[in-house]
Amino acid sequence: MAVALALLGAFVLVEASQLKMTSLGGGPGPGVFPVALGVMLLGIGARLAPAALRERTEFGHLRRVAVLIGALAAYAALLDRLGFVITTSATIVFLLVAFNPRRRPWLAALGLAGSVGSYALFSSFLKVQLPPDPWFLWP
Amino acid sequence: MDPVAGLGLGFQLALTPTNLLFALVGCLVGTAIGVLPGIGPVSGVAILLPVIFASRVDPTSGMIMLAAVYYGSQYGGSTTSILINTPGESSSVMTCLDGYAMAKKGRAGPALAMAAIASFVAGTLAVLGLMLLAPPLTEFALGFGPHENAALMVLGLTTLTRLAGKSVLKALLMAAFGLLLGTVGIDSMSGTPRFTFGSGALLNGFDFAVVAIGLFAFAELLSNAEESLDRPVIRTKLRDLWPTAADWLAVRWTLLRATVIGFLIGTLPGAGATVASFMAYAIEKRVSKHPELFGTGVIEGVAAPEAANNSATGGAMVPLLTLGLPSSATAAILLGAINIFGYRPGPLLAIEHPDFFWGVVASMYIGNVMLLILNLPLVGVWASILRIPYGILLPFIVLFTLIGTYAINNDIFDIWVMVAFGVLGWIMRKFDYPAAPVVLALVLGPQLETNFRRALTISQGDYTSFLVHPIAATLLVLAVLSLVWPILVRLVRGRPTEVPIAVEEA
Repeated sequence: MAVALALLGAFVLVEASQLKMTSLGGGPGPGVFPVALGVMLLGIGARLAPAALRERTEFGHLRRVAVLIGALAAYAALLDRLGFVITTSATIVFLLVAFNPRRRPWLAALGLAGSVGSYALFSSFLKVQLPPDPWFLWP
Repeated sequence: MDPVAGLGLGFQLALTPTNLLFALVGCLVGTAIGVLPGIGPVSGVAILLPVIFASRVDPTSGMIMLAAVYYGSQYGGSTTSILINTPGESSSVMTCLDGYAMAKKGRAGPALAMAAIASFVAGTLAVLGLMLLAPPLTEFALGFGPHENAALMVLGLTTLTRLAGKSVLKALLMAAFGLLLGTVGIDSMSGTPRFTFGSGALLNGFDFAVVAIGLFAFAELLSNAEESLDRPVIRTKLRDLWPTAADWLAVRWTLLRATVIGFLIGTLPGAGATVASFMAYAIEKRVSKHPELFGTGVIEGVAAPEAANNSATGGAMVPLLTLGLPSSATAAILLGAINIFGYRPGPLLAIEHPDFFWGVVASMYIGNVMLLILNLPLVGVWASILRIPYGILLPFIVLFTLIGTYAINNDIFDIWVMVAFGVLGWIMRKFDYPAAPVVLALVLGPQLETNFRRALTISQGDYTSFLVHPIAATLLVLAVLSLVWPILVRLVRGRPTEVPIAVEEA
């Protein structure tokens, strides 16, 4: 983590050096603040790096984490094409079934009802703009 | 406007049926957020904000609801601490000690009731403090120019950094990262695009609400999914809710002490409700005639942290509403909300928009009464939420997270950003990097940079000009001291000091 941020700091320094350092009024330009931040990231990151390389952490159910991230990535990729109701229902039903070993048909129905219900609540009642479905099945 | 006239105006607004409804919904949602272990006040406010904005709600009503969610969540956090020994929020960690011990003795009812009453007393007194402290602070801050504003934000960031995590360097690194995120997009002063890499989606920069939902809500969901989905089930039965006469006698000074401690700590940037509850508990134990009984189920052990965390929320409103300086991640989101509603946070807020300012303050009195009325009879309902298996709750929290993220800009790119920050936030938790400084720095960063550059433009690039302005210089000295103070103490005393540590301050 610290190593990554130190590298980010170095990258920021390179990128920010292309920005102007002074403005017309004699004050600092758009590059000053990023350069200062790059120095901070690089300095503190490098200071923490030796300890960070020795840090170890324990991981639990990584499969469930991967399932959750994967489901949301698929959600973001398909939302535009399939619209809110279909993509959301599919994602929520999938997660409910994946995370609960029992009573799956009942949970699938609950997920479907929850997704459609929340669309009705947020889009129709609260007027929150959500992506429409491509076939306009939902008014 | 003097406080009495202001409060009169505020009550006129807050008592309209619409605003009462918004306060009520905010209190209910806030309590639910507090009760649910998978979602905290930062995530709750960040998810609700875009929904409120998209529904084109009046700014005062919207802010009334968001503030109600904020203090409502402090009420709700205690329920899980007492019933299942799992704090709903980090600020309810201390309540577990005596609250759960009381529940095991069959006194869950009085513990829950005392938590609600302590929160009510402290919440109400804190609003009184806010009302009295806000006008003079506003007056003082009116003379602030870009030098003072920049210095004030630096102080806000350094004190948060000091208290946000176990390691100051890690917190500083996170603050720098947050400030860097704030520079992405078109520079407001020169119009130059920075770090956009030719991407049109990045021209507007990272939205703080998207980043906050990722770093707090989605990261929390990932952590929960990684750990066990099985949660302890409540076994306690709720009988006699009302505390006994002996209970009342025991807490009469506790409530007052904890309220004052909580309020003062709440006004400090970075300290917030968690540190307040730790301090109040520690002080209560120290002044108690029977300190050895703390942890075995004494009522003061519930009253002190619950009073302190609620009055800290009121205290946090002081710098937020008068100086535009958030003292915690949740307050940073509220600051962003004030911006989104089209108002300028800072000392002019109360003068330019007295209806907004006093409406929110007055609604906090009403909200505290609502929470007391709601929570005593509804304790059973909240407890029943805890009986729902987490494997079923999690996908629905994901659903609200997705709706909240999309509603911010109606842009699917934001969902990618949210997921990316969620993964980052999860890794940060694994290696003890605090998320609060990132959000606070992202919200304050652009204003800090603008004020900093304006100040230097006025003084024609002379960096020493910060030292010539006495208030700015004092604030900067305090900022430096807040960072190096423990090192100085260690040098003088020759041994390390213990600093109260906030787990993940909301």
